[in-house]
Amino acid sequence: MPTCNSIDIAPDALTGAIIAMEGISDGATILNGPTGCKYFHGAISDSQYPRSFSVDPLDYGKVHYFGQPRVPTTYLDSNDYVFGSSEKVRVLTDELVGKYAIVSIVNSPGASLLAEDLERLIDKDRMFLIETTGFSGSMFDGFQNAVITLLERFSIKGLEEQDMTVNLVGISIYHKHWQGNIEEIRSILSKMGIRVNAVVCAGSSFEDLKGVGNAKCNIIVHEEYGLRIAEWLRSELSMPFINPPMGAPVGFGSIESFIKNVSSFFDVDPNKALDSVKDSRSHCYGVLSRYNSLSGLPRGATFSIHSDPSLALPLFHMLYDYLGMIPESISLTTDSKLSVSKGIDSYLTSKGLGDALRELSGSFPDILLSDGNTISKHRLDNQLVEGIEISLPSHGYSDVLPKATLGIKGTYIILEKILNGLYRVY
Amino acid sequence: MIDPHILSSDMSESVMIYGGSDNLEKAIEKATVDRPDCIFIVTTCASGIIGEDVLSVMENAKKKHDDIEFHLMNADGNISGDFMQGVIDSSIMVASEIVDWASIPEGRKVNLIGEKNIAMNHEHNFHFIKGILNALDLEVNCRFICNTTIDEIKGLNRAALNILAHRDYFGRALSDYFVNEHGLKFTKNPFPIGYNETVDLICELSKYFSADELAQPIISENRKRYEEYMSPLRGQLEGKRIMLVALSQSIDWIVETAKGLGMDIVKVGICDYSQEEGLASRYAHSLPLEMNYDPSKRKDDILDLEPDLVISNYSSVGLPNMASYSVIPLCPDIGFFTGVEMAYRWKNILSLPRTEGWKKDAYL
Repeated sequence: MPTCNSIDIAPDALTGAIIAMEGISDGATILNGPTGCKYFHGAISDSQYPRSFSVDPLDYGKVHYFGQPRVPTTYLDSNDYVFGSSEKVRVLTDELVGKYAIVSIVNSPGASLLAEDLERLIDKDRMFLIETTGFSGSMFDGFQNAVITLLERFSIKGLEEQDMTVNLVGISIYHKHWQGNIEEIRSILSKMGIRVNAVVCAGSSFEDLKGVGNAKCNIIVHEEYGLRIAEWLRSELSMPFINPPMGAPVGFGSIESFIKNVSSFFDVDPNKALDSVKDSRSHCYGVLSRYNSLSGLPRGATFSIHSDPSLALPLFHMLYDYLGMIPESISLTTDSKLSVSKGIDSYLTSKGLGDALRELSGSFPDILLSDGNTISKHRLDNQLVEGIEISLPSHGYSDVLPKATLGIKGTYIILEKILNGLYRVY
Repeated sequence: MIDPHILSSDMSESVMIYGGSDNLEKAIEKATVDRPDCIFIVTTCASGIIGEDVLSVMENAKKKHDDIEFHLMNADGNISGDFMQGVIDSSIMVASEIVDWASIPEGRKVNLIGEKNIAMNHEHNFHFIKGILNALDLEVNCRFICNTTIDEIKGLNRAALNILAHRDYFGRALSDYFVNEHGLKFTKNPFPIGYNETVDLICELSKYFSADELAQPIISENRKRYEEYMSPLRGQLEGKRIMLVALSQSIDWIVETAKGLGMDIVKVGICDYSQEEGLASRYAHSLPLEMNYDPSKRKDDILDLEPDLVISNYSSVGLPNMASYSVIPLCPDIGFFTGVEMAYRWKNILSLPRTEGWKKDAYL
């Protein structure tokens, strides 16, 4: 299975850990590290989960903030490698503890090598230290390790589970339109009478995370970000989990599969939720029928996907099964042995499309579903391609209309971009 | 810049204990596949802390691949300094190790030193300078270091004169190095912002290269255009009160535009910004100037001074709506018309109601 063709500039475990901690709605993250590790994380946290209206650096002129509202840093320098960073950490924790429900301290790789005893500075009820995020680990590992370490420390055991409640695990603030995605999943679940207890490290409060055990089960949204968390919760808090076999719920087939899996687990009537998908299918039929009458498209147009496996699988089904498009190449951001990755492999092979499991390089699709960087890079070789951003990094489009990548709304948006993109291409 | 050719040696936990030479060798071998002219090896914090012997690995690679140049940047992540120190150290390493200092200046060649690779307008600014140089029958020899090649860098010493892109901390560090270590000659004027600075640079270049007959038509033609642009603005901006709060200490292009339009400069607050050389304004003596300006004073100063227009590098929320606000770029487009183009924006902004609708929704 081909993996990321920009692997060397893909976010790593440090980013995953910071993104996890920045996903706590009433938390703050201190980076015990150099400024070089700070700016990207400060920028991405602030843009993905804004907590202030101003981005004027003059408003964030305090020394640890370097003009950004999020992820203050101890700006480690050579002196700190000799004498330690404790004093800088203490100044920041004094400022933040009390203002936030939980203050996380994340060591950069360099800081972790110092093996400084920062635990002695920790108020164990309100602070949390991630001593090392790993050195060349993936973002998925960094995210899950951080979440598991947090839950190990703070999740309350022995809580009485509330029927018809779930936690969403494996979704982060780094996911494109993450808030819209959560709303879409909430909407689907509510049609089955199911309530979301906590969205783990993606918008829920510290208190909600402590009460993660209140839910009846966990639903994995993106397997690469959530499988290990769900396994840990099953092992430590005896919570079962649902890992949707068709990946994240986008595309009608995958959404219906998601509904059936959840309804089966809870033994509830899925029809109201399935009817809403049917209504959406009906709506799209009208659009596609007229579009297809004039152009014959999207049938026969080609596509490539370069993404996380949990998105690649449902999007493949959407474009191949639902729209009749032809896969040029499918490549994944991780070669982890996930069920969604195996699902892609086995499905393509069963359809005689095994050759499509290859890197994007050298393919010339009409439509490319990927992140902004990959789309830009691919356009250098294939100027006609219609690139559809489904993940970060982004080209920086300012979204006003609340959007989603998942759910009915996500399906509509992706379909709309495919149809209009193909008119430009053809 | 979309997919930088950066390979990682993928240091893992075991590397921290047993060392990472093998990983580095593998990464170097991977990098040599496409036979680049040059491979740079840059060390991270972790590499520096564990004391990795990168130099030996590089020397071995040199022996194995004698058609490729290898250079080591011992940044050790942040141990050797911050972001800007890394940029400076790398540039100086490249200059000292790659430039052929035995070559001698030839003809009417000019180097451009210290362009800002990460500024969105660096190519726009380059094309303006190139146009001016070509009009003076001069040629760009090397852009150090921006969209250039190893061959261009090797031939850096062939230029007779060097122009600094920005006289900021980075630019000064580079020019100090080139002047003190290699005796290079620099123009007094960096890339010019606004009419006067552009004229100054053209005059300096034409004097140095004896190209006055080529320079005068450029200046006179653009003087005429400048006046044509400024003239209709005066009726609308004359007498307007303007307040400037800036991180940048290069403010003359703004001041000369405002003065040229008859505007009343009521305050110039220069914030403390480590990247700048210090205020070198030709108008300093005549300005209501406050150095090391505290941005938290903005609100009170606006209420007190009642400017029509407040311009600053960033717009902020929560400032009084009695004034209009406009933003000036930290890295402006260069050339004759930087200021006047900005003034057209001021005119447009002042023609609008003080506050637009969305700002009234802040209480929501």
